[in-house]
Amino acid sequence: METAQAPTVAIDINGGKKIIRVKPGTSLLAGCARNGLFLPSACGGNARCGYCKVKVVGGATPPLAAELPLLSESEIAAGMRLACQTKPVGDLAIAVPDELFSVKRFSGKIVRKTLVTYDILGLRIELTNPKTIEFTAGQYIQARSAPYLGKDAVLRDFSIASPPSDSSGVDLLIRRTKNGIFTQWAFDVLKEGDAILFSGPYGAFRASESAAPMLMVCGSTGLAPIRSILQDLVRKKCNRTIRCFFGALSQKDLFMVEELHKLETVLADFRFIPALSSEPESGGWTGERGLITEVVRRNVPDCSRFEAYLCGSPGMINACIAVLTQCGLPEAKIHYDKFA
Amino acid sequence: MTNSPESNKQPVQAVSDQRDLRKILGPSRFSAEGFLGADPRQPEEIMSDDANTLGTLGIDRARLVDALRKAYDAAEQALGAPITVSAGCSAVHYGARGKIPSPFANEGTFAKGETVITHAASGASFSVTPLSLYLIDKHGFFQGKGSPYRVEPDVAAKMMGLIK
Repeated sequence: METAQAPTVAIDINGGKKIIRVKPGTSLLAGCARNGLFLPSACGGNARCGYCKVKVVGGATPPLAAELPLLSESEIAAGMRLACQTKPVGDLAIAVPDELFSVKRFSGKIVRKTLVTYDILGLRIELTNPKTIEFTAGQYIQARSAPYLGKDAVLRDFSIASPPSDSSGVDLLIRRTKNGIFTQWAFDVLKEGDAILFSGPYGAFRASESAAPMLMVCGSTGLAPIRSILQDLVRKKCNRTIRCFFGALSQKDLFMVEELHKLETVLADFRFIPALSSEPESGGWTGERGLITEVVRRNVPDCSRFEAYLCGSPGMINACIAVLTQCGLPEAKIHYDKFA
Repeated sequence: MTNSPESNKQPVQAVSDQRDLRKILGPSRFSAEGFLGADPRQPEEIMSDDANTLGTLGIDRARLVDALRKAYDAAEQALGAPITVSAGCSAVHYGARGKIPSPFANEGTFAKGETVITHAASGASFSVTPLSLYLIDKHGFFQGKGSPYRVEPDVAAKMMGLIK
């Protein structure tokens, strides 16, 4: 006896690299996830976060009204759509960043939870399934909180602070934000031994393979991907010139300073320069003072031969880009992971 | 175009066509506390009352938003260091990763991060975010009393030096 098969449509991903079949009307986001391709999403498919953008290269239909506020004019012109709102009824071809093919879902266990400053938490997640993770230094994961106090589970992005060689787990740095659903859960509810779910790795922030000197600038938990990259460069016996600037308000906002200064004795040409913008004169601080942008300009007045790696708040990134370009660095050589 | 004080008395941009505003503006996976706080008033009532407050003071909304946005931007550029935004008032920016969508459909996402504006003498303070500024600007919605990002229009106007 023959049974009628439900009709399906074909989704060609990245020019035949992967072809999946989904029921007509299924969202690309859901269809891809069911076939092991996890596109980033923070809203669960409600056209709210704009994380699940894909480029439709064949069989495209115009974006829906719900997508328009989340797509720029250039993105619309380029065929970008929100995967959560794209529900193909015919065959479709899409393009996504190649690194998404290696994104997996992980479960892990919190094995260490420590305060690294008064408002920054260090978490160590050891993987339980699968047991190892492959990523490139500089990438991030998307972690899921558990429901608590009537609040739904939410997804939030965190850069991996540990190096790829440490593949049995990931270190995260999480700063408490006022009214932050995830961060309040992480600080106040999550405890050692608890299970946690995440997906990843995501993102294109990484060290280039060139030999150019590296100028790193970060603030607060923006240190996380920089630390991962630096530890990876140690393992690779990198001999590039590296200048790493870490901006903070005062001494109580600094962390991992000793660990990073130690790298000055391990890497061939590395200097770690913490700088404080609001430290009282009486505080005994003998290091650099001033806004991190001023400190960078003072120490590296000619940036033209460098590549820059920036990680921090949008305000810090924008200010750094302005200063670095003024100091002769083409914007194409500025790599950044903006917290947005 | 800027609103005249009189225009503050006019109905703000229509949002009442959206069903169950209280639900839309309540806690969600994006906003732990929501936008209404403990305010028992209907959202339209909150918007109307705040528009009346501004009208009575002779302050137009666009001018207040402009002053608050300038304070936000200046504090953001100071990278967390306190700055003076008006006589007796300072502002500090706190950066945060990620974006938050408007509670109203089809209005896009806004960078997280907030600027806290404090009056030194009284200790009074309030926070502004890209989203809260947008909600005031677009909808005349200053949020409900008790919301962490409620901006009292009269307090804000005074602290920004727009009224004495």
